[in-house]
Amino acid sequence: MRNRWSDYQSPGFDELIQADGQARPFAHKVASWLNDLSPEDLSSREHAAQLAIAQMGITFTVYSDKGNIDREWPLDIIPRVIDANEWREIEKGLKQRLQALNMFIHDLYNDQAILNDNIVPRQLIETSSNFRPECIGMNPPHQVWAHICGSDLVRGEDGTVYVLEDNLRVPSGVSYMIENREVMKRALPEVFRQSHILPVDTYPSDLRATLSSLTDVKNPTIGVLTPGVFNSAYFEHSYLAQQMGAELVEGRDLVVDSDGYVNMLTVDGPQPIHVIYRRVDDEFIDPECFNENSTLGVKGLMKAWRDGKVAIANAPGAGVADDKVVYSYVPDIIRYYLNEEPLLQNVPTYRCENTEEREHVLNNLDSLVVKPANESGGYGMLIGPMSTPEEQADMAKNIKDNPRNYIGQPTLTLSTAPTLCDDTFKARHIDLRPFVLQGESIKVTTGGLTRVALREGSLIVNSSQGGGSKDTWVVEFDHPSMSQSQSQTQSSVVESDQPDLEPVQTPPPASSKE
Amino acid sequence: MLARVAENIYWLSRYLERAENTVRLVDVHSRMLLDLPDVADHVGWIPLISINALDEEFAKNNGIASEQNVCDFMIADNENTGSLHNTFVAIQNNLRSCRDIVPRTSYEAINSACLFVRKKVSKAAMTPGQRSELLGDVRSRLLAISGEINSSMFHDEGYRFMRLGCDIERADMTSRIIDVQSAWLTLGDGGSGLENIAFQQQRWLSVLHTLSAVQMYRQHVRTPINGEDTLRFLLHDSKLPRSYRFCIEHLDNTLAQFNQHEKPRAAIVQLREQLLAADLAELAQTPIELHRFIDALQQSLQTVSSAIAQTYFLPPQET
Repeated sequence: MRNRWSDYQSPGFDELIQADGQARPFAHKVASWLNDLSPEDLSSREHAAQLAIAQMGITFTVYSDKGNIDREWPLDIIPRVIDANEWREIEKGLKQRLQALNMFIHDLYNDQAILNDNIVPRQLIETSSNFRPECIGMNPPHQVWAHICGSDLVRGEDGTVYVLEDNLRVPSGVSYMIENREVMKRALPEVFRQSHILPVDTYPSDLRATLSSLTDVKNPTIGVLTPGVFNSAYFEHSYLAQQMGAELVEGRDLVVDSDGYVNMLTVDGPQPIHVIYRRVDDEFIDPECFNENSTLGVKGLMKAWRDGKVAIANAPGAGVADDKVVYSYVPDIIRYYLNEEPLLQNVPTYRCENTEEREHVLNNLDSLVVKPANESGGYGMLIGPMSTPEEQADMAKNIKDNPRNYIGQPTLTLSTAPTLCDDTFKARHIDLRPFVLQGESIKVTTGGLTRVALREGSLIVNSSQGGGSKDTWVVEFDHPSMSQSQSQTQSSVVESDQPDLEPVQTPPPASSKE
Repeated sequence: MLARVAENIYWLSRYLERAENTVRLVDVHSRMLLDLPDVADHVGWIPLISINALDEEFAKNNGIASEQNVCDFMIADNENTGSLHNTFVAIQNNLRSCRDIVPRTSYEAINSACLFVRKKVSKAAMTPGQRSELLGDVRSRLLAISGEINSSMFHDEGYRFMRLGCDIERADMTSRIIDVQSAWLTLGDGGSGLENIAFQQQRWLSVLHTLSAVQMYRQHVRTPINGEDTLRFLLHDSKLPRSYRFCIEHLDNTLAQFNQHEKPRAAIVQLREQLLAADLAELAQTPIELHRFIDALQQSLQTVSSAIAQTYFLPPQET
């Protein structure tokens, strides 16, 4: 049979296939299994995955002029594979990063030591649109503000992993990470029996534990606060509520009672709610405190939170560390609070606020990526090499009008992974969004959500802009039971599936001291 | 359970039951007309529209009530709020808002049925054979959903709201089917000729068919099919799952399990008295009285459903 990988080529670093055309050792099994599939089998697997996605109702909502429509979640059936040894290093780096970020946010709203010591300029924080003076003096449980963080990781041409941004407001995507695995199990069950793929489905119970650690109430009532059925991430909101055994609430379901506690309106009247996992931006959660026209929020919620009568995750004000200019200071922030060198690299970043760096950005608009400080979803950014002179001129004007609000970064050639395009394997650029939970303790998802830019050469992975996704496999390549599995397969057909039933060894549980 | 979600789950259930009723109506009606080759197309098909009180909506875009027009209107028309297509749109919308409550397996069954209907139902003309096959498929899916919910859903408040929605919708449909019959019967010549008796028998038989109750009538009532006994069976019997009394007693039992239930149960007491006080022999003879009686029942049922909404659901938002 023809080798599917022989004419496969990546413009940079490929996650699965080495420069010599061989699969990376930890991905060898899946690569050869994929190679052995007949074209008919391959397309029937793809079809099975799409059918499963439709039946399971895995959707995301797109706003268009025809109203809001549900689109089926795009999943490419070729997995992205990561060596568990490498993953454990990344995991350490993410924990280090989120711990430092939470210490930073707590400091900003309390002592402001890092500003007084001139490590981060005071002016930068005070002009940040996500800094909330209303939160000054707050001391949330465990001094943690960002309980759920989605950091975007990319790999450059030389194989280095960089953190591209930290999403500390309402990061989404984790439900797709879990559902991608479910779909893959339906579509490619055999591969799971051959490889040692670490599971991803503990997230809902980990999230529940994290949220429960924010209140003294035993077995608390948790609400997932959603903007409603038309929100692009509504699927995820309902998924997490269902999986955690939480209530999926909208602003209109909640009231603050005369004692200042938050209640939800049930068929038996008002009932207390102890923890709110809000998927609504800060500025909309309380019309009394922030945007007075917001119909998504709850009147008096901020006061209830300040008085310690309800826990909110992520805490209001946590988004201040989400600012892309603040991002450029994260290595300094890690050194300042933890007295450690950062384990994960930042992408080199030019701050347009600084005259010299701004000039560099303005002179290199055709090669840099320019991003606004406080947007998400890939909006408002310029990718130099793929932009027109008009777009560059517009961006130059934006930068000059509001230099504080822009940063520039070199355009990375993101790593690629083989992706099924019209029945052949093509290299497409990808990123990775792992999720970090921090409450009483800290925990990182195994892998994360891999997003893939489906158009050739494109670097835009956002699903709202034509991106797809992949199941992310963290595999134990040199796991002891792997060799055992092979030898048993050879010696005894009857018992060949025994080793697969052994519990998979997971990384040691995180302790609060980490 | 959240008041808003309770309302969504209640309506989800009502629409599921309504879809089943629509399938049943169209299917049984087409088969019944095969036995009446002499009835003019329009006279034969217009009752399907009237049962659902959609006469005005139908008249907007359709002239004569031909088989094709009526079936398209009832199955595929996306401007008809009561079409099977739109009923499934409503099912999907309500399902979205209570997704976290419905068991995952039930969610998949309902969602797949919605996708199936969206894919299969088109305005393209269907032969009667294709139509019957489609309706049969939809019906099996709906029955599977109902079984799936019954056996996998936690029998708590959420499940009870589904029961409430289902029983109200069922009672309502049984009364509508009888009501349309009253209109049909006035079409007879009013005489007592043999032909008229045969005609009347045929009509009542079709009512029983529509409610899947012929076999049970023969086994349990045993008299030749006639108006009074049919009415008694469909309105007063306490074991027939689609009889009016069965539905409202079920409704009452379900309500009794809620912490608060005074208002809606008080409304049911009234409805029940009204139902059992009816002189069925008289009603079977005078179609106009039957129509008035059914009308009054429907109003009382409306009172019950308003009481349910006021007791459990979120008050309408101030605007």
